[in-house]
Amino acid sequence: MSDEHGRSIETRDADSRRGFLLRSFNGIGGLALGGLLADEIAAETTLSDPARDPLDVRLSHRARKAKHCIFLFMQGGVSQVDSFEHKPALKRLHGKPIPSVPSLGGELQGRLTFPHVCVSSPFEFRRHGESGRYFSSLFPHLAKHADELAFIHGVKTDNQNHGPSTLHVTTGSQFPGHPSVGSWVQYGLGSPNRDMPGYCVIQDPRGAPVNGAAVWGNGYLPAAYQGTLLRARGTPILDLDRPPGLSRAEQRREFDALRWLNDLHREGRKGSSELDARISAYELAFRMQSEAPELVDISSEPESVRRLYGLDGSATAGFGRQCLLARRLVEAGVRYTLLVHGVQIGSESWDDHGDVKAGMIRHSREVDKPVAGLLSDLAQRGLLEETLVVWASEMGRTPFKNGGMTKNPGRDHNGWALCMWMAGADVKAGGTAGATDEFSLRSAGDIIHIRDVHATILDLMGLDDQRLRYLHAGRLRRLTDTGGHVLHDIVS
Amino acid sequence: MGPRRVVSLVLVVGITLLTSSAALPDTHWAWIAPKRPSPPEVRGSAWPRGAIDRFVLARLEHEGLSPSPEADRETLIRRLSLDLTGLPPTIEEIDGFLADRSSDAYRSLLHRLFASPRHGEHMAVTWLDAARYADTNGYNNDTPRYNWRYRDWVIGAFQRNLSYDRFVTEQLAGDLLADATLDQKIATGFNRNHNVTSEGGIIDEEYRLEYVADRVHTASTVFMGLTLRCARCHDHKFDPLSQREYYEFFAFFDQIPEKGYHKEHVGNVNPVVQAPTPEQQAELARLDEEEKRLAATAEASRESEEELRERGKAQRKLARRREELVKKVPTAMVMQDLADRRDTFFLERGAYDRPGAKVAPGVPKVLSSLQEGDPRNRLGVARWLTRPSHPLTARVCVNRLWYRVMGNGIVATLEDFGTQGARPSHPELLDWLAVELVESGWSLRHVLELIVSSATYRQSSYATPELLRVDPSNRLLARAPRFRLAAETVRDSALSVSGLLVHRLGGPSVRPYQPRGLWVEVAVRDDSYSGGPYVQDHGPDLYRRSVYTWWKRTCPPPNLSVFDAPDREFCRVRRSRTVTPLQALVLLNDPTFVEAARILAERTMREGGVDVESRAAWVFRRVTSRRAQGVETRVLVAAFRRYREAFSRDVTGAKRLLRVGETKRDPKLEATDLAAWTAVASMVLNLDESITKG
Repeated sequence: MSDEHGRSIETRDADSRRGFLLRSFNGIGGLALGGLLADEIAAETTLSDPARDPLDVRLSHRARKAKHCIFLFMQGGVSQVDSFEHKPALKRLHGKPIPSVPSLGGELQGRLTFPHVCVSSPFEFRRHGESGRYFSSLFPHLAKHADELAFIHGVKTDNQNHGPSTLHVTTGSQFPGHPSVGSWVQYGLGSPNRDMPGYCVIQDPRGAPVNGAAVWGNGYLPAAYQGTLLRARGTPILDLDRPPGLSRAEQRREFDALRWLNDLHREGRKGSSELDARISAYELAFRMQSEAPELVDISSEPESVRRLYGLDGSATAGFGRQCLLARRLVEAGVRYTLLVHGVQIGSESWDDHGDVKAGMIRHSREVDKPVAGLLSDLAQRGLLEETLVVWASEMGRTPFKNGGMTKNPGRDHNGWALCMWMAGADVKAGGTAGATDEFSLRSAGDIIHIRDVHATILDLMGLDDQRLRYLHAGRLRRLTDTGGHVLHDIVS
Repeated sequence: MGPRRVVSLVLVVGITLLTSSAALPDTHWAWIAPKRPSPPEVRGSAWPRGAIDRFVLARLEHEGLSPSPEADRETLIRRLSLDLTGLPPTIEEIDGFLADRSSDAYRSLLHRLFASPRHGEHMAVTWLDAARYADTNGYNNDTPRYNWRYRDWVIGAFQRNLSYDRFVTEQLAGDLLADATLDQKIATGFNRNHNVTSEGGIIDEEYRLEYVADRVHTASTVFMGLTLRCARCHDHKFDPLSQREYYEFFAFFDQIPEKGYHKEHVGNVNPVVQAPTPEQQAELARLDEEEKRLAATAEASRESEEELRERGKAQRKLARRREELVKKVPTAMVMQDLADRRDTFFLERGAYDRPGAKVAPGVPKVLSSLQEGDPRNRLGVARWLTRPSHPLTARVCVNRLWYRVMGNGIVATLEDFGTQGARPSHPELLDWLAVELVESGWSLRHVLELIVSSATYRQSSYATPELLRVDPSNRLLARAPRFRLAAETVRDSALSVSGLLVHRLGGPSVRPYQPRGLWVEVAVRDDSYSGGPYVQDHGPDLYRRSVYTWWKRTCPPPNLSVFDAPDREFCRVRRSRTVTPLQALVLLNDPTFVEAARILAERTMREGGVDVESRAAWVFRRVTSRRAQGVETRVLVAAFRRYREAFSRDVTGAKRLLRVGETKRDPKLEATDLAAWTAVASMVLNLDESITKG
């Protein structure tokens, strides 16, 4: 029995009522309704079947160009009014209270210090490209890609503390225990690369984001879908190195003998999928031992490429290396790569409660050139067409000051005005979704929720958020929970 | 209306009928208390050993299948040892069992395994997943906590076969029992194992309610297999559980004096009790005695100056000893109820800041109600749950026992017995076992013994191609299950066969080998804020059973999590069983396993006879519990010879390999030989069979 995507639909639920319904409809004979139901349970059943390699490449729900995704996560809450949102009103009102603050209830309570004194951006904004999009002077390199990007303004998350909102953006839920976006993509599409894990994570060499591995966790999905952390220092994958004193040739012998013995044991157990899977896992492990160190060894990259990513600058070398590694992973066929810039909470994240000017100069300098370099490099190699690049943070910041009005004011959290952009694949270059009010305090018009962004990411990867589900704890779960709306303004 | 539309209409009507009849919530099997069914008549009357087998066989006969032959005795003792103690049998134990031809050899083996202290440790692991026990506070800062007295309580409860009704009652409401003992209070840590935040700026009430919701979620999942949490924001979409009932149940767990935000962010979170271990209690009692005796001598006689001085000295010494001891006494996080009840409100859409009507404590009506005399607190919940008429408690419990041994639950969705859960593969068997549990005085061991004594359990795990085609996931049980060992068992087995495993019961959690830098990578700001970097232990604590390994929620022990051990953020009653290349890397290269191979190699050279063949056969048998076939021995022998040749050309390499791990090597054994046997032992530890129960 198989659905329209060729996925087999035996089992886990064969005994449940849904399975019963399904079988009855198939009995009636390939009718549309039956097909829909089949589709509905397909994903949830195939993956619980141990006979299938969970990373087998699966057909997508719809034709899309993207084969890879690079998710750039800026930890701390990037100030949108100092980067990509030009708000002249703030200049006018600098030092004065916002004239009409929308009622600040619920989520904003306790967060925002009164009075709401506006702080205009200390940075100059200029238009770039044919699209004439505004960028602040902090992003000169990225601004050159103005016409390739599509922006989303006024994205809302449900909590404006770092821990919960980081999870909300990376997993769709503000509480731990839910699969990350990359896990859903792996679950939906499988992994085309068999020498490396299909979902790789490279965090800031200075440390981890809030919530640690939960940011790339598999939650309730099988463990095969979790992100594999390529460590920034030392060996990229834990326990990748052979024990000291054991040469590669000797370990190859160990693999061969193991394979031989396991094969022998398999005689009479033909069809034991787990045994088959174990044998192939050892082969992948062996290949990873040789592939992974080479993949993360960037010494072979020519000088021009290293400069393109800013590896020659002390401020840009860290994220530059992460971006360059991301391109190498894409080339190697890795499906999903998460890069994290910034460390938890503090001066090494974008969390500029005090002195947003100095903070933004520092952070933007660390990422502007590397990110622009990544976009150029991907484009030159023809990879941008098949790679979706997403820029995100866990929230935006307030247009008014945080703390005392000193010479160098900071900005507070603003869970109503996250600004994101996407590029590559089927992203509508130059497109815009959503808008914020004249102060960038809240969205003007319809609110774009983070689940709409997630639905869009899935769509661009060829997946339908309504159909990508997993049966857990009695409910068919989705990345977008109650469902999201694809942002058609930025999808071509 | 074209024919297609007619068909559609018929279908829609059909669906409506189907769904409405099937979804008639009150008639769902799981809402009705189980009654003991009679075991069915079967044609193959020679096979069944008991009631379980008759239920299984009846279904097989119905499907036109027959059971597999009994597994050989080597397989049986390995299977039983792994299932009941989480460790493989020793060669002596295997030989003893093979030699015991008496009719109750199997039974006495069972009883020996049940009596082993290893049994409690092994049983505890799954419950600790369910109870989301960990050694850190979770969330953002994830600082240490020291609530291991609860973990030891769980181990002890399984070891003394505490009846399941007491097990439930003491964990839910130990503090509310008359004359509650310290142990009973420690048990209530069950409801305190959730994450607690110390992140500044969070909204206190939002998080406090999150902790209460976590308790509701955990209790409803682990005791009732109920997805009650779906009703937090709206009425349950499929099961007859209203949002109002959610908050009524919530009210029981909403009475603890606690806050959402915990400023003092390291250590156990209030309310706590001083929880001296039994040894410390004995020592404290001795000190009391001594002090009393000294005081008595002072009263009984007039003391000389010198006697007075001596007594003063002795008393000060005692006081110092007491002070030292008290400093070491651990605390335990416990439940308490506020003297003045906190009002609980229905929360609109589940939002903390949208309280609606006040609700009184209550239980979901579809499952039976509280009785007259039941107190309206957690003790009442425990009484309600452990009443034989409760439709879910016993079923969910026996299903979990079945799952741990058989690999599948009779209800495959262990966490959901509701209308959306899987239907039981053997509904009558489930009910029979549930009633058996209750009528045995809720004895877990009794039910487990019935299961592992059955002919069903004793079958061979070989699957014919025909059987694989008909029943790939072995729902019908025409063969024994075959699956990878749990993470803890993988590690403990390697330590055990090498002889490294240190058997010490209980105590603070330990920190065995772990790659450097992992905790620092996930730490907030400087690492001291999150409790400091990982400081590895040395000596015996490197080799304790994995149930004692320090569990940091944001960075669980990597060589266990790679084998699907959960992060313990939330309650889990089922683990996935993945096969990944990262597992191969751990088994091949992780110092824990390389050192185990090295020490196993030493044993092989000492205990495996003098020639290469007998040693190869010994190490294979020690790890897999069966004798190698001739061809398997020959592969190992050939591998050994090649390794020895390679290492004799590279003696430095051999010596480097022999330095992995902190246990000193036996200098009497020749380095090249030992290195070669180490490589062979590693290979054997990596066999699929070595990490599989078959």
